[in-house]
Amino acid sequence: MLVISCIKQVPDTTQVKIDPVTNTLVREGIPFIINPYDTHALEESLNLKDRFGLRAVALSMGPPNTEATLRKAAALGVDEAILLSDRAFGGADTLSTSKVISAAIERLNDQEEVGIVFCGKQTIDGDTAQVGPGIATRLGYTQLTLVDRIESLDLVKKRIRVRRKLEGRHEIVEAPLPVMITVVRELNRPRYPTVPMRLMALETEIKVWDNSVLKLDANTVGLKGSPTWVSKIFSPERDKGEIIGDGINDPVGTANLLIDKMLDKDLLAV
Amino acid sequence: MEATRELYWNIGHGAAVLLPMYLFTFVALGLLIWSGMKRLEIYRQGKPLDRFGNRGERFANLLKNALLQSRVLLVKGPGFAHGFFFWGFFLLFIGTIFVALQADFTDLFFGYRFLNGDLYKVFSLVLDLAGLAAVAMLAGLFIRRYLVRPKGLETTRDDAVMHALLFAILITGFVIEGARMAVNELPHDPALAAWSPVGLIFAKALSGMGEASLLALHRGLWWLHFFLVIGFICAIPFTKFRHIFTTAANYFFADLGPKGALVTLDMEGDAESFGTANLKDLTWKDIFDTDACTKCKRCQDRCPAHNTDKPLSPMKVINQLGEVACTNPEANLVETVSKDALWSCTTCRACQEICPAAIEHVNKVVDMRRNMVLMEGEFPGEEVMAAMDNTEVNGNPLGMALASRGDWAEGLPVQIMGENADVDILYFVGCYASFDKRNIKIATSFIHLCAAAGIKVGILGKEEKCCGEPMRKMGNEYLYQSMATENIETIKAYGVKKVVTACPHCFNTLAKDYRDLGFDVETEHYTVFLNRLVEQGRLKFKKESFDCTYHDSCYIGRYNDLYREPRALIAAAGGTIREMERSGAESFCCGAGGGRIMAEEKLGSRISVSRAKMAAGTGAGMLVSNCPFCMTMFEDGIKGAELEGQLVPRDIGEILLERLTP
Repeated sequence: MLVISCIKQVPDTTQVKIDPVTNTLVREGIPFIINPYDTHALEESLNLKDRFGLRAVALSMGPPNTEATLRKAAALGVDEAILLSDRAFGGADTLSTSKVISAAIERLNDQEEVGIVFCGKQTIDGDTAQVGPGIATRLGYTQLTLVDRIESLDLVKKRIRVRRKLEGRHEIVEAPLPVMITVVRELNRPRYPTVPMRLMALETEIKVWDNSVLKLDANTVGLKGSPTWVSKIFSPERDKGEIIGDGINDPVGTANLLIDKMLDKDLLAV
Repeated sequence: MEATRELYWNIGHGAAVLLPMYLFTFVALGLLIWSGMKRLEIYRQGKPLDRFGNRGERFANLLKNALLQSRVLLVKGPGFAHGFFFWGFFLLFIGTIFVALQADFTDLFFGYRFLNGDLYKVFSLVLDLAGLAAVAMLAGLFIRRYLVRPKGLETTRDDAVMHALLFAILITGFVIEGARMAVNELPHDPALAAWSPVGLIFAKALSGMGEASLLALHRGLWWLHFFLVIGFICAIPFTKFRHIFTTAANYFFADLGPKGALVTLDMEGDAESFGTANLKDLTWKDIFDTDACTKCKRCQDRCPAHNTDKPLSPMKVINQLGEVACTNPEANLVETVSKDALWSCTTCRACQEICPAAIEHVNKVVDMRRNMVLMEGEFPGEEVMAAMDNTEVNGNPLGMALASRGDWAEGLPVQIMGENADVDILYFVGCYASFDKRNIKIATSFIHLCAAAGIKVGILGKEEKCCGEPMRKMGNEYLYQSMATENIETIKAYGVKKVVTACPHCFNTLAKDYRDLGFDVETEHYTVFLNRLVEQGRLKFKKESFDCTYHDSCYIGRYNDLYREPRALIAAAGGTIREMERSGAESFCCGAGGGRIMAEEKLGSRISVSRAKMAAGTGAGMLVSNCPFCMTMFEDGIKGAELEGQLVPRDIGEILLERLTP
């Protein structure tokens, strides 16, 4: 049985600035990382590989340089790393992205049964949290979002029980396989690649599947198949705040002042 | 009557004495050699390592440290006691050789005697005093070990056996001498007796006994003394007495390479395993080290981790490895020593610097860390793994954007190499001085000082990567080498003539560690560089006298023996240093070395707090250091010790800049 992790190579957005003149992302000199949530998805696929002997496959859609990210996944221990890359896939929104990834998963399923697909709960560059659910919908898998713990996995009965982390509460849910799970950071602690694995990963073949492999209608993928697109990026303007009181010499008085201010502005209620 | 004595007096010099005597002696020596050979098998479990080249230097090391006791004497008190005991006992050994040489060789075969006349008098006096010194020192060491009982000094059956044997040998020696003198010299040649002052005391005490009893006592004790010595020889391989040979040999085998150098691993070769997990991963010298240890605990006394209740004692680590080598060669070394102990090391080198047996502790710790990191992907905490990831992505452990590495220098008289590489020196800034607000001031002051002296300074800016030192000391040789190779390529491409660093960790790494990776550009620490400018008169300061204490960072002090230059700079600025008790080679680490700067200090108390208290104890209100890591730790430690307002951490560069005269 396969356990698949979908990972995305993203710019380290903590470092991304927006050019105030052109309103575009300044990406020069910004390193790429694996989307942080996806590292937990990847780690969980490896955990299940270690515990249940499932075969772990990492999938990523992106330009050819995404190979670096997949090689990192190989160094961490995935059995197979596949890059979904084609000029036709470029400029994709979440709809056409999930279409491509779903097609790849279906293709994998033809060779070996897919049990679980892990995705990060969202990416730090797009922040839509739509691709995971999009894949589940397309494939007809049960979708379990915001999972912070795998409670149990029964490979005979083909059932999985997970805990979802919701606002102020947890929810334990059980579902039949196959499932698509989006994960939060609390799920696990990603491992660090050992040197023998890194060296092995240098030799690992990163398979590239382009549209000649997936055979999707070119009008339904990439920019052409994307009903949404980014029309503008800008930093929201913020009113300048004010400095009130003297927090160093009169902390209590300043705190009171702050509370009054917040009551005034209806930010606090007594 | 010519001054001399009859050797073998009252014992006889026939076959009935010589045969058993030499038989037992040869059997004992044979046993000693046989045990030594067997011991070699234990060392041979380790990997090969060449420690035989440069024999001249090695022999000089051996003689200096064994005969002159140089390393032993680094610690006064017990060091001197050991030194004088050794010299006393050694002279007695030489004396005995002379006696045997004359009686059983030159006189026996050629009728030639040399122990007579004035030479004999001196011989008698010297040996008497040597014996006295040995007894007195041994008594002192006995009192220390069994009555004073210093904390951490482990006393075992070995120590009891050794003290008892040595005392018995020395005391029986004097009683034998006293009995002989009571019979012959005291009544017949009192003037000669005066040349054996200690023997004379024993002779007078014994003179009341009848001659027959004295002769019987003399003969009986002579044989007892003889068998005690045979016992001593036989005990060497089975007790800590073995250090007579192993420690001496360890001086010969000492690392002659750059101080504190680690082996640069071949990361791309055919090695299947990295670092030390099992005995077979150690070198024979690592195992030999464990046999040279006498458990004197000097290392442990100085270990910053041990002194702050962390589960590390360098001595214990060495002993544990020795135990595995002798009794359980299959054991996992990392498990045996414990991960917490290994992660606690700050690689400050205090243990190695003081070790009287020239044992190499730090490389063993790093090699075991290497196994944990490179083979298991383990770290002391998630924060360390995050720092490693940050370094891999952004070239610094702080997780700051790599493109902003040179931002601190904006508006300063400094060139970015990528824009203009026509410079006198390349300033390798390091991560902390590039990104950390407090430490940027160190970088800034260095730039201003250089500008004042007319030095054109360049920096790599966003092309600079972490030197890799904290990662390397944490065991991540892979990441270190990837940082190092990038830096080396970048620096080489600019044809730089000289690199200066303000960080001792960068300095040690570029100046020494990078050499293994093909870096050959001259590298200096800013204290040395600035001190030269001061000596050349290119920098002048207002002499405003001020009081401070100075902290020798590990990597400028112990690793590079730079104790003079930083102090000279402080003096040039008008500073008077109130030295801490632990200063110079005995300096106490700030806690940030060994990659610990990236780790939370979860075990025991905080090292930086201890050090801040020591600094405050001098009464000086300013703690001067030469290292961004130390600065970071002291900012923290001073808060932890609640010394804010009483103690201010400053960098040498900052002090100089404030007092600079235009």
